[in-house]
Amino acid sequence: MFESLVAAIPGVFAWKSVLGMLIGMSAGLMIGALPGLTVVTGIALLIPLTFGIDPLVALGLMAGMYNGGSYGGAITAILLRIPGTPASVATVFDGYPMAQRGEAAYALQVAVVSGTVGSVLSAIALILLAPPLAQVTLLFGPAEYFWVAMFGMAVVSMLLGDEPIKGVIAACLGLLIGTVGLDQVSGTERFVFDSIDLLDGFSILTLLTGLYGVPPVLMMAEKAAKRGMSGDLLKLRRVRSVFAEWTRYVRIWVRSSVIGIVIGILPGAAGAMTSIIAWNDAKATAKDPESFGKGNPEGVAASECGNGADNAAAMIPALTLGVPGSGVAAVILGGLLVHGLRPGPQLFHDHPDIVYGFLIQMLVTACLLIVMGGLIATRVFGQVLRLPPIVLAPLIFLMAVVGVYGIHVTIFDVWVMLAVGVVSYTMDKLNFPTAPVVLGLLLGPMAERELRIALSVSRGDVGVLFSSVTAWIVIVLTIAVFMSPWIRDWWRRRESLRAA
Amino acid sequence: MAVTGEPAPVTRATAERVFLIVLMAGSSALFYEALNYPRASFAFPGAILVLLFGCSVAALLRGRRRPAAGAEAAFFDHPSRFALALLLLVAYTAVLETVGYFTTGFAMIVLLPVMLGYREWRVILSTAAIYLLFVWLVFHVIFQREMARDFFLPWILGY
Repeated sequence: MFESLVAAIPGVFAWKSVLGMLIGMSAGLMIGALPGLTVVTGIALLIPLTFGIDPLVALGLMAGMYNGGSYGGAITAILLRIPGTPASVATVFDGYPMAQRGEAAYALQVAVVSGTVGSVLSAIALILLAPPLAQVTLLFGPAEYFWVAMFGMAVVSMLLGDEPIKGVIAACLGLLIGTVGLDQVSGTERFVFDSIDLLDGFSILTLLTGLYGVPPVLMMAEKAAKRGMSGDLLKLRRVRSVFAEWTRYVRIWVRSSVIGIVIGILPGAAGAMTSIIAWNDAKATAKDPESFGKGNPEGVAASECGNGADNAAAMIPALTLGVPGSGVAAVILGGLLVHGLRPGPQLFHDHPDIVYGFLIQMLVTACLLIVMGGLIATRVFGQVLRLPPIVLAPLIFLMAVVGVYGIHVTIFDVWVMLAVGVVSYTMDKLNFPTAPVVLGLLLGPMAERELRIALSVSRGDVGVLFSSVTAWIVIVLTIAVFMSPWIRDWWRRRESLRAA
Repeated sequence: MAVTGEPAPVTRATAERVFLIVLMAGSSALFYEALNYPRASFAFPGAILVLLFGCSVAALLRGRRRPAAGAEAAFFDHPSRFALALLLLVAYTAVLETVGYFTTGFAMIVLLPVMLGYREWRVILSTAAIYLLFVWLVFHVIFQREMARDFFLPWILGY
């Protein structure tokens, strides 16, 4: 592992890769700061644009956008009381009251330093944990991989939304779209309807862009907000330094990082809840809990540190098992597949330069955050907030078209993107989670292929799917995940009965 | 009873019912289509379609029995703006290959905000110019990315 890491360093620090990380981070800071746009949207728009670029440069762009976007959400959370991303909700609690007191610059500084600490520790966890975990998956055969795919879909369908049944429907849609085209085993045409464009199935890039790039355009047009942020809010002056008061925050940084990393590793758990749990923990363990929510900088530190700490950690199950820890990780998985990189132990074996390079890029971009997320950079990147959303909406759609049209140079892909975008908009409005669609798309073909290989090796004996201890472990975990909503309900009823 | 003449807004509950019925109809039609495939190729999509149909029915029944919070809220924040924006996106896509990326792009950046009531021409035109210049430089010149070829630009610029 150590040799592979060292061997990947020259590639990571090649000028193109460094430029990719810097551009990705700048774009991430802007996208994260823009309310209505999430890191998922940014990466979904980015992936088609990286088509044909060196994979390590493309992954550098994604790593930069992931870490940059994660902090970008804090800018509007603190200045405008609008979380730029769902993960910065808890930053509003204390960040905005601080801005009201004239401490916006200090709140932003606490946010960027805490976010950097969380992101760096998370990247170190990724580097240390992902390669050994990938080795464990060497024990997996076709039957186990089939169950891992089922487990991944169960996790994302059941845990990412409020209503599990909607998650399952979304996963089914993704699985179904994944079957369009030539059957990869027998060559039979499925759901092609004599269309040449459908023969190879739908492009995952087109689907990702449609799912995440088009709905914000329609929503911004619906709201038609004609005012951007006032430029006066970006006139920030440094008055205090976090570094001079670092001892005050160390305890919070450690606790919030551990919370973020643990939640990030749990498949399907990462996201907005991490920062809220970290904030709650900081409040519960503080000497003055009553000051939280009223402008305590420790609240900002906990929220942003927890938020940063789940970033790289969410990539641990994604890279090793193909089961993402968050919606962003699911989209990055799609990006890996576009560049011919299939998650799992083979990824570490076949492309060590790229996968270890990506691990280092997550660490480098986490460190870059403190430079690029500083006050001057916030003033520069924050300028994008002055653009009225009504003017921004067409730009997002046009950028999506640049990415999608160039894949096969056909208007068919743009039509598909638009149609998927309208469906995704409807799903968003009706609270159907879209991450299971992505996972269905990614894991569906793998599940079908591995199932058919397992059955053909055993000459049709279904018992092969239940013939190993590893398979049973994954089956039990999958059943537990499917049962989790009922277990949760039962637990809540029990608690309320006890309280009564 | 007062007659306002305004149609009642589409509620989320209604939209969800329509969405689920469309899913049920779609999964039935695709299942019928999949029956034509060899058994091995049919099994996986067939199972998904059965699951999709079953879950859609269950969600539909659940929605009737226990409506979710906000089920009676309007589905669209502003239906006319949504329709206008969607119409523009469809029109843009329809003419993209004929007219070209940069010309349609310029029209899109100008038309969408203007049709939605925004009139700051300085902001609109400077945004259009900066954005299109950026795309031309980065994606057309540096990355040589394929874009819908412009019909008017070569004629205007004389190349």
